[in-house]
Amino acid sequence: MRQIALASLLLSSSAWALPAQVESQISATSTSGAAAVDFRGTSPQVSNYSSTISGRSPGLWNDSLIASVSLTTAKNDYSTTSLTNEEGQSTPLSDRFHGAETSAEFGLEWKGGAHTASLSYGQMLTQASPYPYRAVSAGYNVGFFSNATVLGTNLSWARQEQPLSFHTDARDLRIRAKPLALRSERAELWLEQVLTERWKMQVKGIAGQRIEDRPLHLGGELRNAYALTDRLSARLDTGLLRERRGEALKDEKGYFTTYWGELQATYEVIYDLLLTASAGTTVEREEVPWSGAQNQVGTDTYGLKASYRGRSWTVNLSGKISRSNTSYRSRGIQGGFVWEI
Amino acid sequence: MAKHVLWIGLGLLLAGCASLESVDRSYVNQPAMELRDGNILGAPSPASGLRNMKKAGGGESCSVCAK
Repeated sequence: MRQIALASLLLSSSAWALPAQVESQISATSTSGAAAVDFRGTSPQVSNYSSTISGRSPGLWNDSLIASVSLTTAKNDYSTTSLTNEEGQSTPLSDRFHGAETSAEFGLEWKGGAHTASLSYGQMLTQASPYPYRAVSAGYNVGFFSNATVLGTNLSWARQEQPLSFHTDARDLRIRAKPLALRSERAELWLEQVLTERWKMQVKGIAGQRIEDRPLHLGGELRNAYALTDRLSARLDTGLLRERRGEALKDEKGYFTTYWGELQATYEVIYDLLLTASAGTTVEREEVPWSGAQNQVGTDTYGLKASYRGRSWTVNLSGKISRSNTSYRSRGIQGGFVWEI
Repeated sequence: MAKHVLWIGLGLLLAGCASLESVDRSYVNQPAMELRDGNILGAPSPASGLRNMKKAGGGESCSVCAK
């Protein structure tokens, strides 16, 4: 009898087990112009391509643990990225590097009752890359009241090297070298709340810093999702990040404040076919203390996405375009396929 | 202003918790209502790069966050 109970438990657990998953994503982005308000010249269009293959293990130890790995290969066109030497002469980075860059990421996610914890590590594998990096992120969240309330935190650290380049400091007109490595840190604390059967809200506090060249920034984001009907839902994200004014500036840029609003609507055309349309604006305001200038760059972005879920697979296709009040323009398309094994 | 926002937030939180017993959460559990992922735009911040800071697990090359 005990064996039958054990066998049925094993069978039921395997029937409920989280399946393994393989995913492939391909994207292409084309960008032109520059985001600088005083940018006078014309900047040619550059195209970047990337493909990602990722795999997720089946649920291990009673579905409490999932391991994942992903490999991304990117072909970036660096012809509009300039490196400036001590004499002030600029050369495009593409003169030195025009190969593909491959990076890998590994992740673990553990679930126990109302608790979920995750840890991931990523690094550049291409040794000749002009931007080799290592990054770690950790997350934890806990649910209350059958997950109607969820409290979570995300912490991330990254270190990225960059090629030697110089800039002219506008305060004393001296030429200074930019740092060869940038370390970034970001901490987020969020609370998600189901407010009614149709309305869900998330509020998030953000603190971050790029230690070598930028001041600490603080801010937050408010996300709301509302189901207008059983087939149509809308989501509105608004947020703000502001660099702390008390800190000394370490590069040629002033203090930034960034705020944004993004609205998206998702419609279920037929069962498991979702169409999403989205529009958003990001405004970046730069206060330059040594010149008194206030520069403002606004970027509008529009996107469309279609996603269809089959019996053990999902396919998606999305595209977006961005344009700003400077010469900056960007267009991107992305397609992906997820297969559950 | 900040005080008012705090009180409104607390009120909404309490209202949400208090109505849990009678709430049918079928709508908010739909995939389209997922709030923990960024939305499909992931709009860029080309001047400051503040919104594009690297997070491990994003599956993209980190070179975008240095600019």
